[in-house]
Amino acid sequence: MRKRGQFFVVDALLALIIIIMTIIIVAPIITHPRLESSASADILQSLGSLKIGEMDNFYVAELISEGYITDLNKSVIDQIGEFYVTNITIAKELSEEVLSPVSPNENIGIWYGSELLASKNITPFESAENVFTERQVISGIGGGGEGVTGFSARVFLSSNLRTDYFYFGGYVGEGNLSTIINYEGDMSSAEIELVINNNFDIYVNGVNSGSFSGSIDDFTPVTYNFSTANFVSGENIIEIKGEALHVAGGFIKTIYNSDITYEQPKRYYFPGIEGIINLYDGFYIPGNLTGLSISLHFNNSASTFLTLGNTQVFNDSSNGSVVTITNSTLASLLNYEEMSGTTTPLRFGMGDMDYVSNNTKDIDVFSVTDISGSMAAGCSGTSPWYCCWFSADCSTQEGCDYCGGTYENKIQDAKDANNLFIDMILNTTNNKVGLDAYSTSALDSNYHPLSNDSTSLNSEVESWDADGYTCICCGVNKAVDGILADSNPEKFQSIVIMSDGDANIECSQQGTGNANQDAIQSACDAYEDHGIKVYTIGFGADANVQTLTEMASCGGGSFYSTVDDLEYIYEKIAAELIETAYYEQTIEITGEFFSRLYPDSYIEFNYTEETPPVGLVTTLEKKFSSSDGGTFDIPQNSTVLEANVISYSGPRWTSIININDNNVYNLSSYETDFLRLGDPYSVNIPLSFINDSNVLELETGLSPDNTSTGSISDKIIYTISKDLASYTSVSATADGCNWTIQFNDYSMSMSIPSDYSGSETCNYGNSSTGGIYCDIYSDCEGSTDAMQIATYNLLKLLDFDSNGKLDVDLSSGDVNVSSSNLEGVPFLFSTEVQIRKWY
Amino acid sequence: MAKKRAQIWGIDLLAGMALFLVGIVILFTYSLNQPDEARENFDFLFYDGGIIANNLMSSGYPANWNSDDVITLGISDDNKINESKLGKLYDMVYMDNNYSLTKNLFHTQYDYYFFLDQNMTINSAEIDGIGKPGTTRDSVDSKNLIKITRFTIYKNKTTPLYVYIWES
Repeated sequence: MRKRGQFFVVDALLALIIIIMTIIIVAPIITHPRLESSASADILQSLGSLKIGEMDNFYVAELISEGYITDLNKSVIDQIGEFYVTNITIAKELSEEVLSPVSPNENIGIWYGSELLASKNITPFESAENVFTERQVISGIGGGGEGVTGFSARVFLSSNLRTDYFYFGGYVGEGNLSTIINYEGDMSSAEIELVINNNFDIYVNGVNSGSFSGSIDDFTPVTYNFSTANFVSGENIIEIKGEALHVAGGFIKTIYNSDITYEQPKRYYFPGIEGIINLYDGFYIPGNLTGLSISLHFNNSASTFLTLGNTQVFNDSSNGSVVTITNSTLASLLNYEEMSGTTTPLRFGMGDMDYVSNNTKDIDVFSVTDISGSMAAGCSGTSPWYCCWFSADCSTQEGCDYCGGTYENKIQDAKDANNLFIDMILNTTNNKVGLDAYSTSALDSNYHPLSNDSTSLNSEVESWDADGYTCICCGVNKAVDGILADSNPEKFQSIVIMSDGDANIECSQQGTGNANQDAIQSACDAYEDHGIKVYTIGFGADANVQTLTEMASCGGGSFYSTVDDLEYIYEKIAAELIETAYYEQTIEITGEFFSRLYPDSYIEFNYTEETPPVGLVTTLEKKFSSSDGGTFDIPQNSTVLEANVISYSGPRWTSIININDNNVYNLSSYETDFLRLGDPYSVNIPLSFINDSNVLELETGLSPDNTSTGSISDKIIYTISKDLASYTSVSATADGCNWTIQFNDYSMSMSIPSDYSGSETCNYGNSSTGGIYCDIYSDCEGSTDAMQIATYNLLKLLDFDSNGKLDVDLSSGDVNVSSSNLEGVPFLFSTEVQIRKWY
Repeated sequence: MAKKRAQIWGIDLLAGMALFLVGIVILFTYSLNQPDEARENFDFLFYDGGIIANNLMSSGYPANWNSDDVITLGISDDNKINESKLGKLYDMVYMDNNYSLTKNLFHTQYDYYFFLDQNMTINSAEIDGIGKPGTTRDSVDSKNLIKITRFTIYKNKTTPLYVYIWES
């Protein structure tokens, strides 16, 4: 009872003890921080009152004696401000001197703008909990009204590299080719881009400058740089030598220093041809045509014609003397108005000669397909081997997969490939396809004569079943019979034969006593006796490669091999057949023949020229995004001087070019029979059609009704002029910088101006280097040097896509810098001085 | 029996409540009065210190004051210490023994002592600082002492000005 009665008392006593303990322990911990911040204002006021000339400081005395400080009446705060914009290092050192008397136990700093010049601190500013700041804005330097000398810099590009292109025509042949390159200055690079049929050597002024490989096809150019060592300022002969060469588009690009960075063309120079003159090209007249003359220097005993547009202006032979066609003659033949501002096709070659053949050939091709038993669908490699007997139906993909086997359906692959082949060949008018499937023999039931009825042909393909042995010669012989029955030698006749194994059935027609030899002999017979080319395909790992290779070799065709992608092979062969058949721009010569066109032949045109704008002239290349077109943008503040579409049209003609839905070139407007017309490799785009962003469309063709896309290697080459003089407002200094400049493919270090000997480093590139006042990350805002700012602004102008890389190649000599020293003009600046004290 | 038990619990509860109320009263008395007292002391010190520092950083009144007509003691002109005024103040404190008068002019009951980062020179003699006689920058010691730092110019050099204020 008594104990219970003390419960509340004990409880209250405990509470009382806790309260007293709390007061004893916690009270001393509670402090009352007292912060005072007058020192910041004192410093600001003191530095604003104290004249730099009065300041008793050894460092200041040094600055005065060394001439860094000239206005002794300037306040310390203004003097630091002047150094802040003219020499940040001195500004920091002077600020350190100013703060040096401050106790090391203080946290105080001087900021100009966002730049900390000096501080005395025991804890970093970043960890401050309380900051007291006194601010003062200072404008201009020399509060007494006297300014310091200001500088303005002007940086510009001049004497820039000049880029010249010599364009070969859409087709230039046959034999050794040449051109004249004329320039004054120092050649810095020479590049060649060509679709060329064979390996070749380049000679510069008679000296071999490299051996190079030919193109893989008629639509894919090869690109090489070749030595400039043999170039000389003035006239240079560039020769391209090889075996029966022809060029299906291309150019020689030279880059050299020149006082004149751009000239409008006044002449079209013919390429030199030593062999058989056969030129398809075009030329562009930039303005209103007022006069035209032609100088032809060639040697050919056969009549050689020159057609401009669809008008033949010359047809005669020459013994090597220069033939001149006067303006009066041409004016009577041509419509100058229609030629003005357009690209006119040009054809120079030999016609109506019985040794010249340049007709379009239609294709008659037999697809000879192996449907022997080995082509049947099947499952192999199952585990366990008896799985297909008891566990699954291995005649299906699913069953075979279940048993872990590999399912092959070669006959279906062959059917798919044949259908694709039929579609590709019959895509061109007048082409025909025949079908001939063989096994133990070549039966009529598996045969379809030459036809352009794709439905009927596809139906025949679907009827094939795999069974029996392999009689390759049976298939070849039956296809040859089919061609002989339904085709004629005027057509491009060929057989495409596919086999997945070894020939094991002989043919009495060849009678070699060996099935494989019979197969080879049948291919030889087809080509040698009837001119039918034989292309062979080895399908799968068991194909007899040796037999099929020898068949193709003897049959004048090609051998292809594939393990599983049969459709791709048929597609390739179809493309090869189409390309081989279209050899309109290639001539075939029988017997000995020689002609020569000299590269000093030209067409000269007079027209109303327009003065190009002053600025940096730059030539840019932009590849097509697809084989039927591309896009290109004009950089800001640029003027387009010239734009050309270059077209690798192969054996076809460049027929239509549209820009922004406007037609700028239509070959069929001259003539529907393209064979009579030239084929320009470079088609000029009238400047009036060019916008800031442009969409190009291009078509090639054999006739207006038979068109196709171009090449993915096509591109737009355009020359722009950009006003690249860069000025600055008045800045504190104009010394320069050691620049590191990033270009698209390389980087370069150079001093700008070239005689700059200081240690300042600047950077124009997308790699951050840190600690640099003038780079793309700071946008050069930290710099107070007019030369640095002007150079930076200039480089920005050359970075057309603002990716931190210059789009124009430069050397330090290209950048000319001039500066104007604005004596006595107050250098104006404004910034905020802050004295911060923190705890 | 039941009535007796209830009385015992009632006394216990009353005693417990009384003790608890005593504790609460102690806590409130301390928390409301004691910190305020400390804070007020420092506030007064800082307040007075601020006035003294501001006065010292000013020109004083009249601008060319002397010990006879001074109303406000200031030793700076244009943010720089005026050595003449500094000498006058020194004389008032140490020569005329008018330290108490200077305290009155500074409107403070507390003791003060100020000095620069560098020694001051008065009448060709170097002195440590000016303030309560017998005090140096190293000898100041008090339970309630504050230091105020200002920044000024003395003899064309930037220098901190330290003002100590303390309770006697």
